[in-house]
Amino acid sequence: MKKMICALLSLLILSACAQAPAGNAPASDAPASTIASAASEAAAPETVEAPYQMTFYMPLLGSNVIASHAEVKAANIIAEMTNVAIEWIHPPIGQEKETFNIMVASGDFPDAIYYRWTDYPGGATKAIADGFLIPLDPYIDQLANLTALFAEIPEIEKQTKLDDGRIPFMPAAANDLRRRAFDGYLIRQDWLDKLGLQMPETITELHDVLAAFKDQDPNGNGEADEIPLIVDKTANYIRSLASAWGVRDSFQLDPSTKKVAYGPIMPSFKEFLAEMSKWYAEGLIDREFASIDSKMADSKIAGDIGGTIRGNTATFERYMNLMTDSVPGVMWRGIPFPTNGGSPAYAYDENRVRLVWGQGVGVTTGSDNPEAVLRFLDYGYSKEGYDYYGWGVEGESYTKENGEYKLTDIITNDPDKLPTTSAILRYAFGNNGFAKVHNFDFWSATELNNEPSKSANELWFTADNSLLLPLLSLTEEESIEYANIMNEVTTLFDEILFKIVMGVDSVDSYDNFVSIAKQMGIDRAIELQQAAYDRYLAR
Amino acid sequence: MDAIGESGKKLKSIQDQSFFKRIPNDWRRNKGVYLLAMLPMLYYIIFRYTPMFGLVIAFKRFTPGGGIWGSPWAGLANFKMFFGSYYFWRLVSNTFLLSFYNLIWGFPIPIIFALLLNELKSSRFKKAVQTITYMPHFISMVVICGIVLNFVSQNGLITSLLSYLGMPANNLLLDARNFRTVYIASGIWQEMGWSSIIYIAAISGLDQEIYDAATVDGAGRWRKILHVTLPGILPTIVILLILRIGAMMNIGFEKIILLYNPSIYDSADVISSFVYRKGIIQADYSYSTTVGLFNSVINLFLLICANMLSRKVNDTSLW
Repeated sequence: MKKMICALLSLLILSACAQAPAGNAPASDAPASTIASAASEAAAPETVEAPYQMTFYMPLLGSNVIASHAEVKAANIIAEMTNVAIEWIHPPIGQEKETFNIMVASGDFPDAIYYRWTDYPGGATKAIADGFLIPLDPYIDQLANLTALFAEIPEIEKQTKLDDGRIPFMPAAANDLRRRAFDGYLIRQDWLDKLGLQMPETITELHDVLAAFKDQDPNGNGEADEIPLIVDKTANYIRSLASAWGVRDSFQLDPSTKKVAYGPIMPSFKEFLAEMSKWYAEGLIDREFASIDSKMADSKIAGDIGGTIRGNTATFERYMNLMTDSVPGVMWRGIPFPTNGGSPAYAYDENRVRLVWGQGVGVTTGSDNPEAVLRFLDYGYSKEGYDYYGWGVEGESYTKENGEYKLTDIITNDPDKLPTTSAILRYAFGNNGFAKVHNFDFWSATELNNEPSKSANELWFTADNSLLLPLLSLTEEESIEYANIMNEVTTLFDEILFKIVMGVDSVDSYDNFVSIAKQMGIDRAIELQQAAYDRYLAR
Repeated sequence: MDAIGESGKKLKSIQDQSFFKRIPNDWRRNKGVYLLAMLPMLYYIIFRYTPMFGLVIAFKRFTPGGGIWGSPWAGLANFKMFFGSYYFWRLVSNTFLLSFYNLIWGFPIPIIFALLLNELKSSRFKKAVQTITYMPHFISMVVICGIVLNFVSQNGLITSLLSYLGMPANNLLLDARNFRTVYIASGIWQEMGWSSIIYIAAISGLDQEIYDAATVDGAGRWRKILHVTLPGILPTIVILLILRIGAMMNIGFEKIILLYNPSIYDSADVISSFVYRKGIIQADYSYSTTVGLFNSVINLFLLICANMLSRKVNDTSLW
């Protein structure tokens, strides 16, 4: 008998242990629901209905500022007004894609998901066909604010809706394309000045500047330790230079024919690879880029050995903060997109032509009350919703005088010395993606608050967009076929790119890549993209 | 005497009963033992057998809305796609070669290490060596790989040492030829001490009298190792070897994806890392299950072969 009790007890203890971790996981988000529900209880007198408990999956913004979006005051206020209570689910930082895919496969869907839906295999069309997202057009009556936005800026409507007119998700949308010109290359202006060099405008000039960085010791420590072009293991900062040759590392428009093409198999791509291989051999590109991550790249920048890097308008402030104390006189500036043999300065980043870029909040089939979820989300497109999500709480994070908005000292002069864009997260989402309008004026006031980033934005906005495709959508059958082809081709392309740039394979092995890509069916994939582009133009 | 006879009779009568009748009887007699056995059984049922039903998606076109049962059937389409894939042979041969070299180098070293430890006279020194060699086993894989990446980077410790010996100072993991060496050597460093425990235990279980007899017969240390210790732990070695071969194609993806980069896919991309990229990154669940299933079938086949071979050669086998 005693034995049995012992055995039973141990069983109980063990099963308790086994359950504990599982029980803990959602518990970490518990503060979210308690705060949110507390807020909505306060509003209870107005609404008879109990607030709808919704789960919301979204990567955490600014983990150094807040532990959960339950701390973002604007979201709580809007949740209270629209009578929902939100339980936030945040994936571990750096594993957003993995966590998302596992969640999708588990069949246990939260109510709402903020995601880059172009990353979902087959895109938003496939997410609806898979029975994962619900199309939102049946609820159009409840989307008064979004409909008003569509009426105000028809381009947003065109880019949000699928080819068949359905609305797949509540989009993050920009009201001005200037807001989208945030990506480009940064260079150490102080190094240029020190060596008496001009800002490079052509690819040849860029090469010569990088070579001078390499040989003439601009950081003045007596060692040739400078890495002229910092690149990380995604090799994105090499890939995007291809636009100087009129090609991209993916699908693009051929500027001469206005047809869809796949950049890596276009003839000028070989010239680009040959040039990059030369740069690498000359030591202009970080020799071990293939094994370093973006953090290590940042530490090379902070160590005063990096001359050029691809970044965005927020990078200026970040690097200045990182380096002002250790490197006196440091100055970063944006480089114009390089031209090459009289070609226009082509831009490489597709985001520049997209007011809606595939990010947004989808409502899943796992939601018991899509109306309530949409009521909450739609509010974000109203003028008040915009003020809340962008500026935060009036009287706390901003003040309004004669219609002019001004951030308060708590935000602009953060006691922990956080940049404005981070400090605002306690009150609002600021410039970060959400189901709302991304207003150029607010962005300009916060992110372009320093001269280098402001002038970089103006400079980058002028680049030529004719290589760039809008956001296309494939049908379900197309997307399966397309994914099968492209999964193989992109793996091979990555390999060949690394190998040729690093000199492991000769530039001539590129021809071999083109013929294998054709065997893999790249021409069919181009056809599918062309068809999708034709449908887009016909929208 | 009487009691023993009675219980013997009882046992016999129980054995005569059918299986389903025996269970409740036996349950009454050995409740505690059953309860204890239940834990590992539950573990295997819940975590090892139940998930096997999910393999069915290898024959389906999995969609999240449909789930495992509701998704449409695809027949053998996924298998055809994998066998026809450009990467099929590379993945299979990379997986095989990496496990093969891992076995060749990684398997004997813990045995040799255990034999060497056994010859140490000072028990304090022995303990110290053991503790130090166990330690890497308890460091998380991410940290280990971080250390490895650092050591073999352009200015890393190992690269610098090699450059003193006249080799070019390049990041070792940017050359496909080095990947297997780095992978296996770091694996040996991490697991050598830990894997030797079982051999040390087996050695300490050997009868001291045999050693004494060997000493009387004039055997030196080397002879004793060769003719007493090794034969004594041979059954342990064989069993572990069979298990190892059964898991031969089963290279975990964690270490691979932490160490590799596209420029060395040529030697570094194995089935498990491919499954990870397909399934978790590209969300092609069915295809990735297909590849995983293929891998498991090969593993099963290897295990059966190794077991049969071992039963023929020296009567030691798993079943």
